[in-house]
Amino acid sequence: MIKLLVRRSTSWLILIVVATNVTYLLANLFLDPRSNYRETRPIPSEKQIDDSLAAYGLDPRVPLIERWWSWLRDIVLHFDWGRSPNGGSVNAEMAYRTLVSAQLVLIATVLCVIVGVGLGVVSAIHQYGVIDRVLQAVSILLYNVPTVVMALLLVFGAIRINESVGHTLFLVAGSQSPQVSGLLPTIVDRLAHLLLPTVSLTLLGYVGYHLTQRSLLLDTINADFVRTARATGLPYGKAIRRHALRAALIPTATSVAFSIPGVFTGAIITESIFGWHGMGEYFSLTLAKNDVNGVVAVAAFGALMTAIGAILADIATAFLDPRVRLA
Amino acid sequence: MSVTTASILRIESVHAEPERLGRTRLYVRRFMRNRAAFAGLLIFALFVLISLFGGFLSPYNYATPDFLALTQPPSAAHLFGTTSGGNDVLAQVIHGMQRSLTIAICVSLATVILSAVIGAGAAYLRGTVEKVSLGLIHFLLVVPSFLILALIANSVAGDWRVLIVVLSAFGWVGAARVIWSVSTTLREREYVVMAELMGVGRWRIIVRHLIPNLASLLIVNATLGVVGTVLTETSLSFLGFGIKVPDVSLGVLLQEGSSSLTTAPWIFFFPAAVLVLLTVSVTLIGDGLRDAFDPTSAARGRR
Amino acid sequence: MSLLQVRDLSVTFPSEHGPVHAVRGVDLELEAGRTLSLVGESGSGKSTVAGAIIGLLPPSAIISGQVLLDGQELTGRTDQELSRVRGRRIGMVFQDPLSALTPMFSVGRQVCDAIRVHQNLTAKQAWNKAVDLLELVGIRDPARRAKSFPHEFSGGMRQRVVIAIAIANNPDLLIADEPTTALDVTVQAQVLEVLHTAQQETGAGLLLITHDLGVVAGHADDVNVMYAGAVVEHAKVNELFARPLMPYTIGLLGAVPTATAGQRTPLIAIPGDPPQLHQEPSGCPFIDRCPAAIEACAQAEPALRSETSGHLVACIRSGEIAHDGLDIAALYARGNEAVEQRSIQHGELVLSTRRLVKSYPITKGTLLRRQVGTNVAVRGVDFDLFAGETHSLVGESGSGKTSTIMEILHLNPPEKGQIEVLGTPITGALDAHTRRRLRAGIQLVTQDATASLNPRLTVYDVLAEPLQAAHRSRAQIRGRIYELLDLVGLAHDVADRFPTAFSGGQRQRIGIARALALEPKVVVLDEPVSALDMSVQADILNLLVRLQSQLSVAYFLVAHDLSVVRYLSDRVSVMYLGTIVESAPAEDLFDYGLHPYTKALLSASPVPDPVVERTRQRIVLHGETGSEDDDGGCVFRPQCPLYSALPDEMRARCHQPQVMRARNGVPGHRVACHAVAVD
Repeated sequence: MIKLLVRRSTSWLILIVVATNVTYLLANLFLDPRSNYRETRPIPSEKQIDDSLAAYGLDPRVPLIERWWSWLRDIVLHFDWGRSPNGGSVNAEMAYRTLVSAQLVLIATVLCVIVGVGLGVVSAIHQYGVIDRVLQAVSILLYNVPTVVMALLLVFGAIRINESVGHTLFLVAGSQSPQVSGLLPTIVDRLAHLLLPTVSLTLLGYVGYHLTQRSLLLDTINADFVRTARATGLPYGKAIRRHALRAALIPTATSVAFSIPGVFTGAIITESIFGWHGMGEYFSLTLAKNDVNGVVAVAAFGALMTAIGAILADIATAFLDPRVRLA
Repeated sequence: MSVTTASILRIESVHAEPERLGRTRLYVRRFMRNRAAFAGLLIFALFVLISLFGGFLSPYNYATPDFLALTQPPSAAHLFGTTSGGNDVLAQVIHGMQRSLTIAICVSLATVILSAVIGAGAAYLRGTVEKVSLGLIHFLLVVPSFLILALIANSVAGDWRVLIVVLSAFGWVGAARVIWSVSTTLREREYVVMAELMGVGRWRIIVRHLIPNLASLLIVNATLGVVGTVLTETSLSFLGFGIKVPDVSLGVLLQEGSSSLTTAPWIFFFPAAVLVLLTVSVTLIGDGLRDAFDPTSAARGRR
Repeated sequence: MSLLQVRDLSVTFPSEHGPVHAVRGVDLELEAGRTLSLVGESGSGKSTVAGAIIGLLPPSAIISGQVLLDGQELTGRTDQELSRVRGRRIGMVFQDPLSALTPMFSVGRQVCDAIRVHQNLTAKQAWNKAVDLLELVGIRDPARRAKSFPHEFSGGMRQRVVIAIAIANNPDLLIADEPTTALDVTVQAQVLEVLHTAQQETGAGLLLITHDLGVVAGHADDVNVMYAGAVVEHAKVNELFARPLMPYTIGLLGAVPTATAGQRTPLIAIPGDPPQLHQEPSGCPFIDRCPAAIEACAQAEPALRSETSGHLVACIRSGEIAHDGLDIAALYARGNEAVEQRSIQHGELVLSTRRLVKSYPITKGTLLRRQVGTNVAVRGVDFDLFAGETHSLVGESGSGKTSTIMEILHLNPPEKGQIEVLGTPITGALDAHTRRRLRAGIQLVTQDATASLNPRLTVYDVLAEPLQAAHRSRAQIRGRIYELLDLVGLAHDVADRFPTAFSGGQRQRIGIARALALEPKVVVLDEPVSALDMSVQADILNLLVRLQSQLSVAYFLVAHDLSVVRYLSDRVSVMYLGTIVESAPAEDLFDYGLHPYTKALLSASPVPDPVVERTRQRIVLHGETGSEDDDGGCVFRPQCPLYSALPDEMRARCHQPQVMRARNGVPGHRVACHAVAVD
């Protein structure tokens, strides 16, 4: 098992390295850091621009291959992912934003899985019943609501409620308030900020788990081994929980693991709308600001998360399914 | 070889079973019996008609501002109201829907074709072709494709035709993997093995035996692809990386609406409602098709 | 009071084409300690009866009538109430052992769970009891094996576990639904024995559901024959087989090839197919297929009534059959007129292999496949097939018979050894012309015609495929297709239909027509009738016999059903674990088989005759195929009853490489056993 994981990790590492370098090339082709400076007043000369970019390894006069080499060397030797066109450290941004995103997105993911799997089981047991139909209708509707619309609807509703109540009941922007001290107030403040974006992510995210868990369970509910279990005297509901659900959870564990990359980069729109300075927002900022090194760092991070997700999925499957474990 | 003996043999004819239905008719009947799917089909057809011939619904051009009516709520003159720039929201929604639908349908068709050819080809031709295709698929799954999409789309200054190309170039990957794995079981089917043993050529087997048996999967993929593309395009345009003003798509409209959410909510609500109705209708169609093709759904017959 | 009483049981299922009346007014009665058999073809409703008794039919089923267990009503109870009966009072054994166990739990835990549902035992006590049960059903080293997962067990072993679960709480009633259908014959014999032991141990009544008349003959006390959802005949087992009264039962018994009836004599083929049960039949449901049907049969569905003492039958002419000498068997069309007995004249050699070897890499791990060893499926097979004859390869799953035929059919140079097809050795890449000639010369008919016909092609397109691949012209193809339809007895108007519009037997005819399209010299028949119902089997066997005498094609038959093999074959080779252990002319092998495996196989194969079944000595093999190291000696050793009885100095010979020895005085009878006497 350990040997297997090492081999898997190695092949993923190679894919990550290739993907990161391809992104570096594409980012240099499609982004133009000089355009940032043209908006400053007074407009600097081309030479001034290039000179200031040169300090960050972004000087377009230097051949791409040389820039690439020094970029790569800094990463390998110092784990330094470079600078943005205005001199900010990519490493510092990444470190800070990873944490911000993590609080938002991990909670939402856990909620999505719990809600989705739970409703999936309820739906499957009452297949074609009233509960199932209602749950499915809601899920199909939510599945089709774009993140933008959901987040904006929540903001709209929250503002209206705040207005009618007369004070700020829901916080619609940012991840924390500036002047809060003490442990308890800090926690309360954080949770209040988390509420709306978490609701938004959960409402949109649970749907996938609900619908897939329902169909996975339906596939196993009629399996012969469930019939065997019922023939031993287990009532229908127990037979499903003990036998069918266990089998149907294996693919779900895999998909939870695979959702981890989305966890960190997938909240782009939600973070933008709710004003969270996380990875998702960084993603759109770096693109808009022609931040070549930032974009590449985000891409590398995403690829790394995909790899971690895939490896976790392997481990989860092996843990849950004896047919794989013993193979 | 003589066939004269045949005349003295018992010639058996096909036994008639009650209501034996043709395959296609069976699918159509199952689909039509599904009320939700049928409603989806009607809504979708209506939207397609409006985006094709809907210009007469609003006397205004989507890009020509009416400077006498800035940020007006819905009224008789402007059914959906106007934007802060004085554009008629109804005209913009119709145009945006047309733009979004065109992109979605083109991308969905392109990705279905790409994914079928690559997925089925890789599975059946095996060997190097399969290895290379799978390598490419895996690689594209690792690359954060949304980021690269945004990167490229952003730099082509909002040309919707380029956007179609870019979205198609990245959209086929997931579907191709599914089709590949389904095809790996299809290629072991006995009738495929029999065809090989009879000396039937490889491409002929792909065209005659593999693709027709993938048809239901491909049709469902195509409808779900429309939804997926609409959502991706909306996100890209909302973030400012896709379609750009002065051209208008539903995503662009949402971006516009979000900035005046509390002061002029109609700018947000109308495109949002159309968007959700559109994707819901297509999803219902897709679900209906999947149920209709599903052999196990027969259990839900009438009593 | 009887243990189980079923009164007027009816079950209806909704379907796309309207309601299906799967079971219609069935009455059953079973005493404790006895075995009642429910026998019928697929779709006769026999499994539905079992599902209704134990209450495991899908919720859409509409059930009426009564099920009484010790006089206690079971129908209409809630799932909660029934679950106190299931497992404790009724145990059930299912058809497919491969899917009947939960893959995520160890077999011990599953037996344990079954015990603890009804008995208040500690985990430790229950585990010990589970180990005891596993030992009872014949699992060796049960304490260790209990911790294994189902996928580590073979089909036969898993079925033993299912039986252990079924008897975990000493039920009063055991229901076995086709318990051995998915298993090999020698394993079937083992499992039936275990089931018998289990019944003895618990004193339970056994409801045995099967389509196999041989199993019925060997194990049932009373028999109910089901047709179209109703019981059409009921009698004690000896009575039923000796004096069947229902024309359907008479037809079924005549459809099975038997040793006494001789080879290639036409079998009774019941015409047509069972009715679709969308409406309740207005007359006798068998009327369309019955050779003795008269007008009165269409008036009303005949009730089941007593004809002679203890013998119930649902036929209005049963009186004539029982007392007035109405000979139903003679009335049945025997398919076609008798085919002249051929003597085997050795024509040209059309197919031969020498020391053929085929191995597969064993890969492990679903995550990252890696090769951990090789599985040698075929270990040096010599096989000859002469023009116009039938040479059969007999063996159980894993014996390598399918690998052998696929290795030949692919027309690629073998891994080791030689293959010669139509006088052409297969060495290196063949040129396109030779390849096409050989392809045309050797064709395949598979077991499952449904799987081998692409559902999206019409019969015309299916039959055209080999002709197109051989570059025939459009006009030639058209003419040939209608010739082929005539040849296999299908009407021309079927050409534009899709395979789903046909019954199983008709589909197999299409498969045979396709194989004959290019006038091959050799047709490989891979289990050609094993997926078909008994009455349809006979029809296809008759067709195969007729086609062979008409076209002088050679058959390479692969089958596990020995009665079918005996019926069709000139020569038979018995295969075990990749080697041929015995090869002989058919009659000689069946009457004087020498190899201990051949003997075990012959004795395990059930015969539809209760007198024979209950008097003959049965050799039940122990253990499983290929469970010991391969030292180049006899591969059958671990299971061999002779080997285990041999003194040590004799055993040494069995570790020497196998050689084929000729049987004295019988040309062509050769056996690969060191221990057996060859005279």
